[in-house]
Amino acid sequence: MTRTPVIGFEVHAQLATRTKIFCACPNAIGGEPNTRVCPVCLGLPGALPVLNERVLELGIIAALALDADVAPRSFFARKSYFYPDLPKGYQITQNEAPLALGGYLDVASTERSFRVGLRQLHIEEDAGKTTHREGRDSLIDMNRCGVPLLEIVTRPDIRSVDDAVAFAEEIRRVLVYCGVTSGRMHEGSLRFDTNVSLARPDGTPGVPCEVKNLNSFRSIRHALKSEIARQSEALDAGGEVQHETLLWNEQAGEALPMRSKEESADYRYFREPDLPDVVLADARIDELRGLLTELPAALRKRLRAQYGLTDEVAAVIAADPRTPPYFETAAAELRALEPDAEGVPTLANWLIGPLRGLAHERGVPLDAVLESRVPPARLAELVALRLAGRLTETGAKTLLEAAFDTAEELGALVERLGLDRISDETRLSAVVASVLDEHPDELARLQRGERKLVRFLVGQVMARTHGNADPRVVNELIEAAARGETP
Amino acid sequence: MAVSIDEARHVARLARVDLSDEALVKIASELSTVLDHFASLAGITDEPDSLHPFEASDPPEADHAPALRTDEPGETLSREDTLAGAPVTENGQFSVPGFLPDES
Amino acid sequence: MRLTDLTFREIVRALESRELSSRDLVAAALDAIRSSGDTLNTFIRTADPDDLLAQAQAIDDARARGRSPGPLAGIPIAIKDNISTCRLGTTCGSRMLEHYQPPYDATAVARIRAAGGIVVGKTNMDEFAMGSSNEHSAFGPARNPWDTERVPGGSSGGSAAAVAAGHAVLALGSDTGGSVRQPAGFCGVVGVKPTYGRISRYGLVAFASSFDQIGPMARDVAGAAALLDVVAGYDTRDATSLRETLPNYVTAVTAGVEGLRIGVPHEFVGPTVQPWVRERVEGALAALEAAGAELRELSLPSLAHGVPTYYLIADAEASTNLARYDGVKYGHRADASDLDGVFERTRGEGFGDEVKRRIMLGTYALSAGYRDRYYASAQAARRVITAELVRAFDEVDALVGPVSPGTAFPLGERVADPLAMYLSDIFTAPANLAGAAAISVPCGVASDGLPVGCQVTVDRHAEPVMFSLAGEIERACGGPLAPPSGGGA
Repeated sequence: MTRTPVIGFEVHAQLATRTKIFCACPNAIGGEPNTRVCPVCLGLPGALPVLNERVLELGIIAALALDADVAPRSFFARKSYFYPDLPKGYQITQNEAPLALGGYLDVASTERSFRVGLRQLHIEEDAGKTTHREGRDSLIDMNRCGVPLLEIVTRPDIRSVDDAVAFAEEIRRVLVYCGVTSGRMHEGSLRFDTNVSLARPDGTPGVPCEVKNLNSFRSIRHALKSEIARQSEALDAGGEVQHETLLWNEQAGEALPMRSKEESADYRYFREPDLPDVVLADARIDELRGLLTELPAALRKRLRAQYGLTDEVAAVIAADPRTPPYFETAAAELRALEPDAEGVPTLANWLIGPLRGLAHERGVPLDAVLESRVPPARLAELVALRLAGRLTETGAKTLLEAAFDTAEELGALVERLGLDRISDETRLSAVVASVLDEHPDELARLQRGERKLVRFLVGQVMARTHGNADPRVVNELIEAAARGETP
Repeated sequence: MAVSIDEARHVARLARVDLSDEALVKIASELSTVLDHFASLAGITDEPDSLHPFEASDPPEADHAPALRTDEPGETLSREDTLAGAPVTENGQFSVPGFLPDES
Repeated sequence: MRLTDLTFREIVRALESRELSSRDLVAAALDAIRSSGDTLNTFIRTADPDDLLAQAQAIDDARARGRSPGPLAGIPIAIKDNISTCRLGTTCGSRMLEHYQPPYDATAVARIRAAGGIVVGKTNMDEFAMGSSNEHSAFGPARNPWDTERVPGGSSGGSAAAVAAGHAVLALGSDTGGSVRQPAGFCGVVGVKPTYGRISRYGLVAFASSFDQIGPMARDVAGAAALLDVVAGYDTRDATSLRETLPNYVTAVTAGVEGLRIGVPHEFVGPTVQPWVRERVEGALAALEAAGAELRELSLPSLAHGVPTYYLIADAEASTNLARYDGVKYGHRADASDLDGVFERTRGEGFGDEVKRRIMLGTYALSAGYRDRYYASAQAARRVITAELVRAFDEVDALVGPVSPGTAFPLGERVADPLAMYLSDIFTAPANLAGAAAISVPCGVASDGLPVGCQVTVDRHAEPVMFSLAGEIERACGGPLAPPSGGGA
């Protein structure tokens, strides 16, 4: 029996601030254990928390980007529990009086779009890291204590594993795009907890279980599949699903039950007396709303509609906040040079393909490439030359490299490097004749029907002309020779 | 309002304080006495409460700047200072008897 | 010479005119400590005498070169041992932190050092500031210099006794429900609890975060005002600290009380107050009236709920503030083979009985099923009490009454009766609940031979009025007190 899964997420994003949430320790990763702490995040007697204003800003930006209602007044609470990597014995969190309520995210998955509702967004501090070792003492590194976290709680609106992964990818895109988080999941800056249940045949929700600690899209997919299978098996066998919290272990590829408690946790929440309420004036929220740039989904849609780009190309351009403004400027330049709208997709391909590839190869940061090495007008000019037929594909690539490495005018480079496409039949006939003279065996075999030699001979002519020969003309000439017509 | 031994034991567990049975009996009795005396508080006002924002004696003034910090890095403790008071360490980390990850 | 021979102003003048040197002051402090420190058990740790004398010498040299070395320069000061100091450790009177050495100074301490103050030692206290007699210290009780069989009060008993016995000129204590004012009253010295947020709490080991304030202590009102002046003011490290510009506290001491309206709440002079205490307080009130103040009777019925309200909220906050003592990062660690054992035994061994009692009470008050009945009702009650006090301050400038129902009680009398101990805070807790400012100033010696403290409570931010009234009471009662024969020797 197929039972519909009912899936929700808690997304934990480390905020991209310079310092921790309640102290001035650097917000970074790596480094030697216990070298990025201070009296506040270490929980020394007498230390006090003070809220980082940038944490608040990024929280509000995320809330606005996800269409949630920002509370004009929110506060922090103490959530008490004993744990070795929780130095104060309580976590300072807005869980009970969050920064924002509601909101949603529209997600495109394969053929359709669906909406995931959000319950709330709130900010809180992260705890330290414990290394568990089989049969030995556990070790604790407090560096991560006090790193600012944004927690986003969704409604259980997701109905398939594919949709779940699509949601996770899209929310990451939005948060990265707005500068809220680095989104580097392998570094732990974005973590997912999921809750999943199987709907009963009458449509009522089943008992949900939580699977925590999912740090990659792959593990989200794997964990959900595995948990759905586990619950299905239990129900199929006539049993019930018990509420459980499981910890995903990536290495083992399975979810293990967490240490069971004798009683469910009593966190004894109460308002944090060391921190005044967070009071936000409307003017401030509006100010931050103004900073929000167009979000990925809207941008992708517009790029497709306005420039005729495919889904894939639009997605790649929209994925990196640096490329859309560049692309749009270049597209405008190209339209001015070649009032033929169909050239823009070609431009897009050149941007995300050869140009980005070259930047990576040369080890030059993309920002530098886009700003000075190959500014939008320069790329537009190059693409225009290609579209006008003056360069072959190979020639254009050579020109791109030269344009990257020097500051010379493109026109001058084309001349200097002899990149003009050679279409003149007379000229090419001479080269073809010369190549055929040097390869009489191959010509004979071609004439006897070995078709694959067309490519070989064309290739020889291309090499002789440094890639600048018009391949169409060369092909025709070789084919003619194959038919026995003398050049 | 009597506090039972079981309740006292539960609270001691929540607070992670080791109390002998004898101490539990004594403390349950002391808590009962104190809380009885404090029962006068119930119903002092009709206000509902729970996690209501606690209003400070002065309502926050409109132009009172919120107590926020700028996002500028400051000094951290040296590793030496961080670990100086630690009862048990290993390889620069705090050490505790091994345990399974906990639901939190 | 003894530090108790001079008023604060006299000391400052003598230092400026070089009649006295810092060395003289420090030497006098060391003498007094040598002679009565053990008996009174005022200090948990004292600084190295040579080091202190060297500091004093450096300040004297600076003065000799014509430098003006700071408002507290060369003055011996004692610091309660729950205020973080880089040197001398910070035990909070507890086994849990017996060997703890903070890597930082509290803001108040840094400001004292910057003003040239010389820290002579860390004073004894009730463990984690929980107590009203200094009998709950892991390092033995402190004793009252007026009668060493009696308590000095608590939790800042060591600081109060140190100032009274001439071990220091000034001291810092901490006040959560009366812990500076009550011991000041019992020891015949001055103790101030300023408006909540006036002094930075950064470095004050937290007991109850929404009540705690560091409290200046001195033999006389001028000394307390001068110390407040140095340590008060906004601190970026404390989000609850106030940003208001500070008025001049020192000049307020002699500003007079003409036209001030004084409220005497029925609840502050009821039958629980010992007659010999009431007598002295009435004397103070009469003096204020004679000096131009207007007395008014009023009633503040919600004050009857002050103690339970205070205890439930304070202990709830405390139960979380003390959760950090878990044996992992610093402090005591018990031997145990499993994690929970480490937590439970460390805390079982490291904390004394009173602390455990309060943690249990606080945890209970917050726990599922009880939070509404206890913690939430207490918060609601706090708002009622605060509102009633704020309304009272529309009618009067200050409330005056005894700081305690009685004078210093004998050691051992209340230590086995927690409820009786808690009720000691009945007059002092309301100021902490409302965040208001209050001072305890001696108003004479009672017929039992013990000092009586008169408490002046004012609205938030009204410290100058508080100092004016206290200054007048002190003047009318013949100036600061000194215990017979130097106290404890």
